[in-house]
Amino acid sequence: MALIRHCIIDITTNTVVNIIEYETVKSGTADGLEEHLICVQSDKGQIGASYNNGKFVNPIPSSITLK
Amino acid sequence: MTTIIDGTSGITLSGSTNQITFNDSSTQISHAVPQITVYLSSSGTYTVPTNAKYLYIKMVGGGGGGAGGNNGGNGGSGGNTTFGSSFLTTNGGGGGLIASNGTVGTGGAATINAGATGIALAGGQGSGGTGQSAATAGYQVSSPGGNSAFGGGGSGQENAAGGAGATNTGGGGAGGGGAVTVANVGGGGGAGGYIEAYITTLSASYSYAIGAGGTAGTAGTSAYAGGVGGSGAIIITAFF
Repeated sequence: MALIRHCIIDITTNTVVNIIEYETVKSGTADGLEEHLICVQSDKGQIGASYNNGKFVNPIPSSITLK
Repeated sequence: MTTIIDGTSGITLSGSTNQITFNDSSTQISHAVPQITVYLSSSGTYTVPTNAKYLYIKMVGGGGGGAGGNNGGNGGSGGNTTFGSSFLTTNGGGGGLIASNGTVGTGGAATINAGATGIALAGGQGSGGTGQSAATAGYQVSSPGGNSAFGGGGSGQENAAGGAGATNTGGGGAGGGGAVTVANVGGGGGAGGYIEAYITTLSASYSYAIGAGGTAGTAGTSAYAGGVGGSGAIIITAFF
């Protein structure tokens, strides 16, 4: 069975704090999660992303310019 | 009073299912076999079995995804695997980084807080992306993902997408390769952290979550995507 990727969002900071896969689509607070954490299905949101009105803004990865 | 039982023909406790209970209910003798529970995805609540004396936990975070070849996209970090609230945590590995970044995919950390005893191991690093002069470019093996304590790091490949981290090992995905003219291959994702711990003072239940594997970095021009990271897992053995 293909698993479905979800972002776990801390609603006190609107930040993605974890990525968990479920067998079915989840919304709101899933089993075992604390009340301030909600699930939102997403294939692209990353840990550290900000979440607002259904949109994720991923953090800018650190980079080093090679010379 | 001391009671001596003649056990020559064995002793049968006809009214008992699996135990002898002393006045001190914390010291019970049981022949119940250990109860093993394995979680491979999602989140939920683990309920400690009745009369369990202690738990033995093995857990791993998700592996980071590999970066895309030819400076495509970085891989995504793996998810964190948790047991209890701020109790046992194995972080996901960092995503693999594109060759122009030049650094490794970090291994996930692991933390055991008060109430459990064991070892907490960081995941292995994913190899950094590499480049070479385009003038001398030939097929180049991409960078492998890091191994967790369960292994499972994806292998680097020539002219192909990076190998995926093995499912439920927390291994990192490998970076993506490229065509013969491509000078840069993607870096591998780091592996998830690992914990092996005993809990001897038990709560009635524990929340848990299994970290997902990190996403694969997108492919650059004339190159291939990285491999996805391996997801995490928890194995719980309850002893009676």
